[in-house]
Amino acid sequence: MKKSSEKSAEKPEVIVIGGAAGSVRFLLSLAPALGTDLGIPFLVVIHRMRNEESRLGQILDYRLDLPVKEADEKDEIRPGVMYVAPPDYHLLVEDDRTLTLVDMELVKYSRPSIDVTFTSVSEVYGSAAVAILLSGANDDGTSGLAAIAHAGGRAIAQDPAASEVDTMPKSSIEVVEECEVMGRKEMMAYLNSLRSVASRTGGHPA
Amino acid sequence: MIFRKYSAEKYNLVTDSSFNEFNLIVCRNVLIYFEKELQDRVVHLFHDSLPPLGFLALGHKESLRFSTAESYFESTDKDEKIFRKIR
Repeated sequence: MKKSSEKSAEKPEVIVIGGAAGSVRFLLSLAPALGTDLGIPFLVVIHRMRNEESRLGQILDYRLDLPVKEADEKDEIRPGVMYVAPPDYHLLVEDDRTLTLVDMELVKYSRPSIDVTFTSVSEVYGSAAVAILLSGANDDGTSGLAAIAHAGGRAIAQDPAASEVDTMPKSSIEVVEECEVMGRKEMMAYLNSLRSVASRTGGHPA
Repeated sequence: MIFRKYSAEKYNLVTDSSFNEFNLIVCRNVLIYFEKELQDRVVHLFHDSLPPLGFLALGHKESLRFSTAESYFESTDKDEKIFRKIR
């Protein structure tokens, strides 16, 4: 495990966020730093009841300063937009930077599973991906975070001490050596730092 | 009794063509595994197998938006992804 970091803040091509119990409140607390002006697409996978009509996308859309969309089959991944995995589907990305939904078996008792999405993102985006694992009550996300790190991407876990339920971040910190640990302040600072960084695709400072 | 009126057949969406007319076709969470081109083929196949005003029910996260047959259907239940053949 590393302390939050030193690693040069290159602008990622995607930021993928996973969490379960306690994660939505934390995600909303990052609102001041989350904006469409970051020019980065966000993919969000949060565990919830499977058959429940979900208002997660609407809640995030209302509270965050960027468009939030429940992911649809074959959606193009656009910068500045947040895509939320729908209930009861796994969310994957394709090589052509579009989204795919599948209804394969549960992973870590979960669908959507964070491991599934993180791993898929690691395969497509490699070192251009950043993954953030938040509060939650099981170890879904740990092997996904490992995949992100091994592909050269940046793996971040919410500080367990600041997590409503610490099982999820704790598990990833124990297993994933490259995992950085951040509290709300560090995460806000990291996100804000991306505003002034040229994108690696040869873009210009935002 | 119901078994006398019912028949189960194997059918290949990728290679077979329309073999009957059905008032209702339910096909959920199958199209999500197909590329756009194959999705389009299958939606046309369904269209060919529905009578006018016949119903097509897809999965929650499926749509006709990539199909060239989209305008042949109207949506009757947006959330449940139920469509009706209008042309």
